[in-house]
Amino acid sequence: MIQAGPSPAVCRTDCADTRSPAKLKRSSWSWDELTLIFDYDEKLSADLASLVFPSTGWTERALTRPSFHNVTVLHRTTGSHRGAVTDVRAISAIGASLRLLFP
Amino acid sequence: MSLPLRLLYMSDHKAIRWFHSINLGNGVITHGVKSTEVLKAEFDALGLTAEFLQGRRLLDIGCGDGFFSLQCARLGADVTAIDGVSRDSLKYVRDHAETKFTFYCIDFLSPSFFELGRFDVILHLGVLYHTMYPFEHLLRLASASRAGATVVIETEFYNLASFEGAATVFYDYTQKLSPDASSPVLPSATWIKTTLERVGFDEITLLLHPALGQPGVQPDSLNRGRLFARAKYGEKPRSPFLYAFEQMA
Repeated sequence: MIQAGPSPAVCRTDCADTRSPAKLKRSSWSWDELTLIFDYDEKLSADLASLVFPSTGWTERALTRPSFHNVTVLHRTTGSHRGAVTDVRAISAIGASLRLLFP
Repeated sequence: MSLPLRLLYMSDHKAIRWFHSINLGNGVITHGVKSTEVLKAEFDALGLTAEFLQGRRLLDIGCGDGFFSLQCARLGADVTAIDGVSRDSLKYVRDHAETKFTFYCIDFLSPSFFELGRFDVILHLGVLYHTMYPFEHLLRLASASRAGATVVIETEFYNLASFEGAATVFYDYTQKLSPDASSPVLPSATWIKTTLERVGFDEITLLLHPALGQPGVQPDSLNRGRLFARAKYGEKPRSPFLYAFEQMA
C-alpha cells in the first residue's frame, strides 16, 4: 500500500499529478506501473550520480516479491510526477519489521 | 548388464524435450519447438560467418540446449557456453555431436564467472527478460569483453506508452503483457542502446527480429517486439556512473 504521510508536505503518490512536462508527457502510464527510468540524458536531474528513478509501484513490488507484506511507502512530492521516498515500512515473512528512513 | 534408468533415458533424443531443432551431424536432427528454418533465419541475423569466428574466443550466455554454441564451434570459434541450468538436451548434444565446446553450469552474475576471462565474441540471446538485474548484465558483458569484442543481444523490448524514446525498464510482474511469468523484465529499445553506450560499447545497431517479418522497421518505432542488438566494445572501458566527487573534480 502506498500511503499519505503525516505532514501536509507528504501526499499519496496517486494523487500527486500536478504537471505534465513535455519531457515526460503522461497518458496511459500511472504511478502503479512497475518501471525504472534511467535518466541518462539528465532530463530529471542534473546529478550524474543519481540516474535511476523507480516508480512507487516498483518500489512497493520490489518488497512484496521477496515476501514482505503490509508494505507502506511514504513520500513527498517534488512536482511533475516526481517525489522522494521518506519512509518505507514492511513486515517480513517471519514477522520481522522493516523500516527504512530516508533523509 | 542393463543401463541405469537415467542413462537409458539420456540415450534416446526422442525422450528429451527440445527447444531447438539441432542437426547433430550423425544423422540425428532433434525435434525442437523452433524449426530448422526459423533457426537458420535467426543465426543468419547474427552475422556470424566462419571468416569472422575462426579462432575467436566466444562466450554463449544462457546456452540452453547448446544450439548456438554448436553452430559457432562448427564455424571455428573457441566456444565457452554457460547456463545456470544443465539440461538433458545439452548433455545429449555434448555427448553426441562431433564438434565439441566447453560448458560450465554457472550463473552469469556469480563472482566465479570472472575465472573464465575475456572474450572476442559474446552471445546473450534470450536472457535479458529473465533477469531481475538487466543493468548488471550489460555491465558484466563489458567486463567480459576484450577491446574490440562484438556482443550480440537478443531480447524482448517494450517501449512504455508516453515514455517513447526514454530509457525505461518495465517489470511485468502482473503478467499484463505476457503470460510467461519467467520473462517479466522488458527494457525499452532506447534503454538497451543507451545502457550499452554507458558501459562502454560503440557501433550499436538494433534490428527487429527476423521472425517478426518487418524488415527495415526500427525497434524504437514499435510498442513492443523482439530485437537483436549488436555492439562493439570500446578500446577504453568507461565508468557507467560518475559519482559526486568526480563531478566536483
